[in-house]
This record gives sequence, C-alpha cells and structure tokens, in this order.
Amino acid sequence: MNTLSATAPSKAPPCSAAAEGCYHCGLPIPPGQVLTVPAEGDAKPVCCHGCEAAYYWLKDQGLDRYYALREQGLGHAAKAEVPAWASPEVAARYITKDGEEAELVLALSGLRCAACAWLAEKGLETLPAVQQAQVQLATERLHLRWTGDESAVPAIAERLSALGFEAAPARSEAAAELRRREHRKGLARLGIAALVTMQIMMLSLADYLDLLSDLTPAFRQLLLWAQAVLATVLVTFSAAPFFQGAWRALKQQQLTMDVPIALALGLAYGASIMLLATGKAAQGAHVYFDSLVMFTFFLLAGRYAEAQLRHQFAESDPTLEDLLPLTALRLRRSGTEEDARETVHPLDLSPGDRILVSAGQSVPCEAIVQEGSAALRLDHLTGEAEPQPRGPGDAVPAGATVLDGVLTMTVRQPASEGSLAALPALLARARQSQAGERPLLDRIARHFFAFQLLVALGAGLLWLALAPERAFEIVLATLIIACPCALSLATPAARTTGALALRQQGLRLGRGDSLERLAPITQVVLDKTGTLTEPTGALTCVEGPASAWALTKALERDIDHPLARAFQARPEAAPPVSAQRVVVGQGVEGCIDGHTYRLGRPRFAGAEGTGVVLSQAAPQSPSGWTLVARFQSQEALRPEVPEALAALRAQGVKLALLSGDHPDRVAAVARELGLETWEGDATPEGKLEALGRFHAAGERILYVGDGLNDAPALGGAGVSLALGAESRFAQDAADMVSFRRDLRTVPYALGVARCLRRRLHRNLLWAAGYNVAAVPLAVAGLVTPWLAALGMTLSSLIVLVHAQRLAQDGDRLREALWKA
Amino acid sequence: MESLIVLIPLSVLLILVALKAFLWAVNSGQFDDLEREAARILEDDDLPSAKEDRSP
Repeated sequence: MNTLSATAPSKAPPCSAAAEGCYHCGLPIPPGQVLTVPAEGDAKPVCCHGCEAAYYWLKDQGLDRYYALREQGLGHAAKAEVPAWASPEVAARYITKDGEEAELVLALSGLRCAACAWLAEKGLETLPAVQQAQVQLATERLHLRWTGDESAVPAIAERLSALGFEAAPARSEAAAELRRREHRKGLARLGIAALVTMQIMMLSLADYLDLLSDLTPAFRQLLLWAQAVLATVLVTFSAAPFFQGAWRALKQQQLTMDVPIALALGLAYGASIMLLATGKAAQGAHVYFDSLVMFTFFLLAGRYAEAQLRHQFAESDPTLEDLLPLTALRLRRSGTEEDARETVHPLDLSPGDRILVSAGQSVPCEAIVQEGSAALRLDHLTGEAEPQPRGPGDAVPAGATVLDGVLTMTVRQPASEGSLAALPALLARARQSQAGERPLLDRIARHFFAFQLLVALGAGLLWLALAPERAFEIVLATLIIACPCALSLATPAARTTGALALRQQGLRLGRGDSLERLAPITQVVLDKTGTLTEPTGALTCVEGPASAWALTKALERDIDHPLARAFQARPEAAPPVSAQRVVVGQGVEGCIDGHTYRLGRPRFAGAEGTGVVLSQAAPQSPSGWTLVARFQSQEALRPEVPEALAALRAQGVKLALLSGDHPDRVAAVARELGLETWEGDATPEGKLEALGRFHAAGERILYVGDGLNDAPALGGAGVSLALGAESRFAQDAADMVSFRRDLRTVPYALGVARCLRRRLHRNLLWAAGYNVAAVPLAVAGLVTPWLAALGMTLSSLIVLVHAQRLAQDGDRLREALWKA
Repeated sequence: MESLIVLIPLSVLLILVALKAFLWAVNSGQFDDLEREAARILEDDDLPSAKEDRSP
C-alpha cells in the first residue's frame, strides 16, 4: 500500500523506471523487444512503436526537453509543497470531526473541466485514509472525508499541490451550507409540485372530456379522492412557504403577494375537500384541485428562478473569514533571545500576542507596530489608493496589506472584533439594497394586493346578491386571475437568462441590476494599458548606460506588476537593495550602494519626457534627481480591439480613451483606433474628473478598465466593467467582471443588456395588460376558476418563454462578434 | 371497469413512492452540481482501484 506521504500518483513515476524501462513511458520493456531511440548520446530502449513515434514527434516539435525536465522532477512534482495552512495545528480549525472521520472543504483553483475534477478526486482517493473526495465544478469546492484527524491534512495538501491544484480551506462554508439547503428545499418543493400537477391533470382529464357523466358516482368519487390525496401532499409540502409567508405578513399587519395567494389556495383546497366530503362533488359539482396545483407549480417555478439568481450573487459576497489571512505568524519568546515562530489561525490570536507580518501579507487583526516600518495599503477601508507609512507605535487596522518591509506587531483586539468584521456586513447590505431591486414594482404591488382583495370581495358581494350559488366560484376566479404572478416573474426571469447568457462569455454580474443599468449607456470610456493594449514584455533602454539594467532589476525585486516583471526578467545580476518602497501608480524607490534611486514615471523620478525613468538622488540639482537611464516599454494593441470598437460604434455609443500614460503614446493609440476623445497623463483623480465632465455633458457612462490602477474611476462611473478579475476591487465592487480578457465582451454585454431591456419592457407591459384585461372578465363571471388558473399559467409561461428568447439573442450576438 | 377500483389507488401509491425517491435524491445532494454529474458517466470507474499498490 502507498503510505500517506507518498507523492506518486497511481502510476509508477517515469523517472525511477527510466533506467531499466521504456525511455518514453517508463513501463518495463517486453522480452525480445529491440526498439531504441537516439537520446542523450546513447541508444535508449523504448517498449513499443507508439512510444517510439511519441518520442520522435516530441523531438520534431522541439519539445524533447520534456525528458530532461521530467528527469529533474520539474513540472508538477516540483511544486509539491505543503502550504502553511495545512500544518496540523492550523488545519484543526478548518476541519470538522465526526467520530473516527474528519471532513474538510477546500476551495480549489486550477480546475478547468470535468477531467480536472476527475484527476483531483482520483488523485486523492489513492490515499488510503481518504474515504471520499468529491469535486463540485460549479463552485470549485472539494469535499473531503477521511478516517483520522488533522494529522492527515499535510499529506492531502501535498498531493493536491503535486497534482497542480492550489487549494485553500473554503471559507464562508456556513453561508454556502445555508444556500445549499435553501436550494435543495426549493427544488424539492418544485419537483414535487411538478409530479403532483401532472398526476392530477391526468386524473381530471376524464372530467375535462366529460367522460364522467357515464360513470357511476362511486367511480367519480374514487377519481376525486385520488386527486385529493395528491393535492394534500402539495398543499402541506410544496405550498407551505406561501402559507407561512402570509401568516408572517399578517402578523406584521402587512400585505404581501403571499396573502392573496394563500387565500386563494386555502379557499380552493378547503372548498374542494368540503364538496368531496359532503358528496356534492360526486353529483357533478366542480372541484378546484386542477387549478390549485397548476397555480402552485407556476408560482414555485418563478420563486425558484429568483432564488437561483440570488444565490449566484451571494456566492461572491466576502465574509469575515474570506478576508482574514489563512494563517498568522506568532512570535513566542522562549527564554533565550531568539524568538520561536509558530503558524496559527488568525482567530486564535489574543490581545498581547506578538505577530510578524511581511510584505505582501495582510494584517489579521487590529494591532500596534512594535518594530520595523512599512507602507500599508488600507484602500479596502478608507478608499485611499495611496499607501500609508506606519512605524513603531502606530496602530494598524485589520485587513491592511503590507506593501514592503517586515512589521512586528502586538495584537490589540481579536480578529473577530476588528474593523475587518464590519466590512462584509457593509458590503452585503450594499449588495442587498441593489440586487433584486424593484422599487417601482414594489410600490405598485403593495396597492395591487389590497386592490386584488377588495375586487374579489366586491365581486363576491355582487354575486351573492345576483346568484348566490356562483359567488364562491367567482371570488376564487378573481383571486387567481388578479394574481400578479406574470408581473413578478418578468424581472427575475429576464435577469436570470441575461446573467446566464453573459456567463457563457465569461462575464459575471456584480449586482442584480447591472444589466438594466447598462442598457441606456451612451458613452464607453476605456482605459488604455491592460484594456486596449498589452505590454509585450519587452523593454528597450533608449537613454543611458547598459549597466542601468542591473540597478533596475534590483529596484524591482519582489514587486508584482507587469512592468516590474519585465525588469526582473533581465539576465543581469542585481546588486542588493535596501529601503525599497513602492509608491502605487508612480514607481519604486530604493537604496543601492548608499545611493538613493527612483524608478518609475518621469515626474516621480524628477525628469521630463516619456517612458520609465531611472534617476539618482542628487541634492545639488534643482529637481533633486539626476537622470540615469530611460526605458520604453513596448506595448501592442490587443488583436480583438479594432473589431470590438467597431461593434461598439455600430451600437451607437460614443467612445473615449482615458489613460495615465504619456499623452504622445495615448495619442498614437487613439489615432490608430480612430478615437476622437482621449486624454493622457490622467491620474486616478483626473480620470474621475473627466468622467464627471462627460456626465455633466449628459452622457451615461460605462467605464472599462482592468481595476489595477483605475479602481476609483471604476467606482465613479455610472456602470463599470472590469476586464480581468485579478484585482480584488474588480471582484468586489465592479458592476461586471469579464473573466475572459477580451474586449469583445463589452459590445456583447451591451447587446445583451439592450435586448434584455426590450424584452423586459414588453414582458411588464404584457403582464400588466393581462391583469387589467382579465380582472373585469372574472368579475363579470365569464371566467371559471380553472380557466383563471390556465390564464394565469399561460401569461406566466409567455413571460418565461419570452425571457428565454434572450438566450437566442445572446447566441446571435456571439456569432456576430466571434465570427472566426 | 372494476379494475379501476384497484388501479387508481395503486397509481396514487406509486406516485407517493416516486415523490419519496425524488426527495431522497434531492436531499442526498444529487442535484447540487449538474455540470459535474453530467460528465461522471464518462469516467471509467470500473477500472481496478488505484488504491491497490501496483508498484513492484
């Protein structure tokens, strides 16, 4: 048996078997086989013609380095390491124990398709302790169950890492569990309503076709009792939320849609059972089971669609646990001068503990700096993009990210009480107020329900005077027909289909009403770098000595920025750097050999012109800096840009370009793309100002950017679309996020939004028209309850089908945009 | 015609059994992730379990 710590998947590793086995696949050579391939200056044996062909194919493609890499154990195996959260002490916080067994839910990244999910499941199930490994592709969650306790977690994490997946404990599991339960309940109610509806329809078919007049009352009674049993199941199980909702509303002395619904359902069910029990039904009196079940089924279908959409949005809400770092590093004085470091869960920190936070990590709780100084990013709390310096004695809020340096801090407050805890609540509230927002409908609806009840009552009184035996039937018909089901279905149905159409092209909505707000826009404002152009990764030194490359490489060390990576990729050896500091959106500063250098925007480095400038501090010069070298990054237009812009122009929106880059380069791009409105050298505030000007000119603006250095502009535009989901801001606050970095998703989203608006308007008009036209007919006694339920059903169906057509609109748009 | 006296209650019973089966399927999470389950049929789960050590 494999042991827990074995890293080898099911097959024997090729490298160990290569000495005696097939050079390509590692399997043993069959006796008598003499095939060889010329590799590594020697004739290596292969086991079959297939492997021989594979070897030559790789060689022809210039890919034979595969064999060398494989021998070195590069590729996946090299990444097999145990992340900090997997240490048993920390992992104990994330697992749930159930007797002999333990469970863990992990969020996996690196899942692309069903095959990846299969690999993760099978790769883990080869570990002897693992009982069950199940991947949910849609939520990228891995549910694990094994015998034992947290001591098995390192082996599991190591195996996942060896398979090429990045795993971290899935947080906000409690909320996800709630959503899962709600989804299951909704589905069970809907499915049971569907089954019961079909059965009752079948049983009442005889009644519709008037076959019952030939039957004896006993048979009729039997058929009706069968319906009654099924209808009871439906009323007590599937329709339960309507009765509960109505009861809650009445207790608070309010009218919601549940009240007339529950009334209609209760009346229809009660009256039918009464008719049946008194034997009047068997004599030919009409029962309402058919109307009742159809009504319930369509109501539930509408609610299910709405809940699905709500859950989809809820999944992107961060909770406290999502925002906390996975681990914290606690220092413990152990008698001697040396501090012992231990990795703990952030929630295990208590006031007075000393922690160590280094560059790139976030601070887990409210703390006071003891030693060290660093620049911290607090933008999630204050909205300030500028990094804030903090030194000994300063307080640091939870969730701040350390940009440079290392801080030793004392914990002031446990993580569960800090400012971080307030954030998810705020975000969720902001989302809730916007998602699923239907202010106009809500206002109309409240009066509508009262109106509906009054009309039903009025109709009942009228008919009691005219023809008392018909009064009940007419009250029921009026209650059902006046139900604004189609009206309440219209918006969620259209939104769901719209959201799904967008999802197919990698677009996710940040808010429920993003699409409706996108439809009326008149101007698209684009960011340049990362949106229209992409750095090619190459840099040229246009001024200064070649030795400057070594300095730049040193200054950009460990900095995560596309431009920094281009400097880091240089072959020169970097000298040591100290006091390295990043000024977001400007550049870096650092000390090399006792001289202070700056690398970044010309103005930041005390120079004129364009490009990226490296300068040295020089107190005697007027600007305080002397230029050492100047670099130009090369960038290229992304291939799909002209097509995407042409599509946007065809949709009749104005285009504008806002960039922080030098005006010359912005002008060049604008000229190439035929953009008339453009602005260069725009700071984040400048972009906001420009957006304000466009807005004042009466434009409704969609801002498209990558969210990395234009977060304020993204937040300040009427509607924002973040291209690429790398930045946290893009994920948390943008109205739409395009996971596929493709500018054509912008005209696609706009097209879908406009179709959605058209269909939504038509749907609302139709649904309102139906109710207005049908109510008088019902009051006049021209509509029987079953006809009312049918009418209600049909109007809901029409609304649903019409909304579903949005998917076809999306397909057409996709075909037009992605022709190739 | 008399057979209906047996058949109709029987059909109702069958429906109740079907409802119970559906509830079980929902509550055991079979509808939680439809994307993944659609692909599961294509997997060769009847191959010998890799848990048995196959290295020499």
